[in-house]
Amino acid sequence: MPLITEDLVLLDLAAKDRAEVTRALAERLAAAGRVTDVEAFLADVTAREAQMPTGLEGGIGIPHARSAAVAEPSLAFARSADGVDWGAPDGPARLIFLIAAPDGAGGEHMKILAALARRLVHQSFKDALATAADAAAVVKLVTEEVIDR
Amino acid sequence: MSTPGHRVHRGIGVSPGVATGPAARLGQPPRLPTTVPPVGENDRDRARTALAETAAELERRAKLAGPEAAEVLTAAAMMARDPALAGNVRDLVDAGVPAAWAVDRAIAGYRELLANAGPYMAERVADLDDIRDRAVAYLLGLPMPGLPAPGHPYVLVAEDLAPADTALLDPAVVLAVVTERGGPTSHTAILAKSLGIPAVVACPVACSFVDGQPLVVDGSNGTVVTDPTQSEVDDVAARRTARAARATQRGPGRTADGHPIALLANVGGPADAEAAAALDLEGVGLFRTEFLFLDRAEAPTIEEQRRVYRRVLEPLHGRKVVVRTLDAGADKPVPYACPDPEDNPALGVRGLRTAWRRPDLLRDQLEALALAAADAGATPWVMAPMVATAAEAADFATTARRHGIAKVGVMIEIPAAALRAAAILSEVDFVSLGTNDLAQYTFAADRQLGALAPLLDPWQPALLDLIAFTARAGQATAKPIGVCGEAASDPLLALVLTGLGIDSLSMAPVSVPDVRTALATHTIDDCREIAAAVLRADTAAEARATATHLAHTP
Repeated sequence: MPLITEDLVLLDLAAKDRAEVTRALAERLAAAGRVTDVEAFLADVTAREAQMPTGLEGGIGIPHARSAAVAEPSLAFARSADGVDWGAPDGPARLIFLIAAPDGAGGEHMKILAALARRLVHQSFKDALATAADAAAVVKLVTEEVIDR
Repeated sequence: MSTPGHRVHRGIGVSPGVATGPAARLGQPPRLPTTVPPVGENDRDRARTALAETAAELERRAKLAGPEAAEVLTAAAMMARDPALAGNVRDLVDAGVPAAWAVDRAIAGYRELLANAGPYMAERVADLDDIRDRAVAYLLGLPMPGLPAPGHPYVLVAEDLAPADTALLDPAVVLAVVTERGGPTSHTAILAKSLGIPAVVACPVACSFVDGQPLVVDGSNGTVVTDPTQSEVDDVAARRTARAARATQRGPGRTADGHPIALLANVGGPADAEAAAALDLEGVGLFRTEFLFLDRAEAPTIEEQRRVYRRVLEPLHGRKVVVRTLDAGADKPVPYACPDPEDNPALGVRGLRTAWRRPDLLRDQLEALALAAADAGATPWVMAPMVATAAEAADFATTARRHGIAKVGVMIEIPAAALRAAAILSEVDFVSLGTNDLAQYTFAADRQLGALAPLLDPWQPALLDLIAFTARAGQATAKPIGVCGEAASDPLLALVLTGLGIDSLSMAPVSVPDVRTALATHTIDDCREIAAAVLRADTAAEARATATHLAHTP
């Protein structure tokens, strides 16, 4: 199963805070059968955020968790025009990736996810994500720039 | 129109933690009327009384405040009692300037001198402004500037805070602090940290917050959210609960699988040492001795130093204490140690280099340390700052050992020293990485220049490479390598440093619980994996993103 598909992409999400964004993305993952229990998964993501926020400089949030409620390693993406506070020192996040890994996920998936985290902070990649016309364009970008690299 | 993104305001986080509550603004300083009245008959006496009353009030507050705040307040009171200031005010009154205006003008003169006397002195400008405001309010019969009392807990919002304001902050009432001005070494920062109140300084929009406006203040990340949503308020509660749970974790620093990392405090004097001794810490990784030497005409005697060192060593008996010898020069001018003005003081005769000209200062200090160690029955580790070569390290080690110092080390804060860490380690027993100066010298970027802050990011790959290089030299020689810069207090970076092979982390005590928890929830292999991935990053942002992603919860 590919890490990201078009149904996991939410463009121009109108959520007003972290909790709303995360829930919207988690519900997409559940609808796709990738997350088995939304509440349990959200609890794991929230616990991770409470320890150290996952907001990165440059308007990015990478909420994530390894969770027993995850069936398939997955990425869900939301774009927020107004941005929401994600605990980064330089302001709100506009590009948010929810990263879901099953408990005990293998090294290969973790490597891809780490590559994504590293790639994400590049201005050209962020610009491309910020201006992508539709969900298909986002999936294509992420697949080409991160997964197949 | 206010959109969610526009509610997030940036500043500099100087005291970690998160809190939410309504804003309350600090009482405004008095304004002098635009029309100047003629000088009054009693203005000479009134001006003198105003300064004396201000000093007395500061002294009264010093008695009520904690030890750290008391020191600051007493220093401010001494400024108010300065006979030279009183003389200037008197001369102005005699020249026909009314009392309030005379005080204002006399202090303005001092203010300018101080503001131009280097960043350390510039931070003291707030003390002077406070003296002026109090004395002027007294003379004009206006309400004293100061803390609001809305009758409920609040987030204190101010342009800047003076010691008189911060000293009486009650953590039960003041939930957090936001200021428009100030920096990481301002009183606001120091005192908020010592009280454990989350604080954000240098937040440009702070003065646009209105009384009663709900705020979320994140002192860890340096952000302020205005008019938070319910779930953002709930987030604060969750984070406070998680933080409180972390604070209950105890014991020495350990990774999840038991790999030891000593958690140590940075201290600047006996009061700090006493405070650190009461905490769950393994000791002191950086005892800065400058306070003994600053603001005086002659170096302290061996006996004076001996007494003070003993007061630092005794409360920490049985624990590790790393003492740094005098680090004079640059932002810490000590006229008798570095007499000649230099064009580039940060690159000048400073740190250990001052001992070239005044070897007696170093010898006396080592003598005093050895005596104090014997008095206290302690074995302090002693290190020199600003060492560039293995030969300098060898010289220092010889001198220190001749004085009976058992554990001798040097700071690694110059790239040359990091690159020759193996050679340096063959001369000394340990080294400690001062990451703030190491960043400054690696990137040729002045620490005081805000515009260069991105170059001074402790996640910069070149800095991490130098740390990794030094740590490898430490592992090859099996000698301890510590980190005592800002980098050590970032829980995420602490994981990286541990993975690189660092043995001890020294930081402001307030940062210890977060670092302890981060370590306790990762194995040494996790740390090594994170460190290896971080070293592959090409930018500071990539490095941080990689570590953020790889860090996990238990």
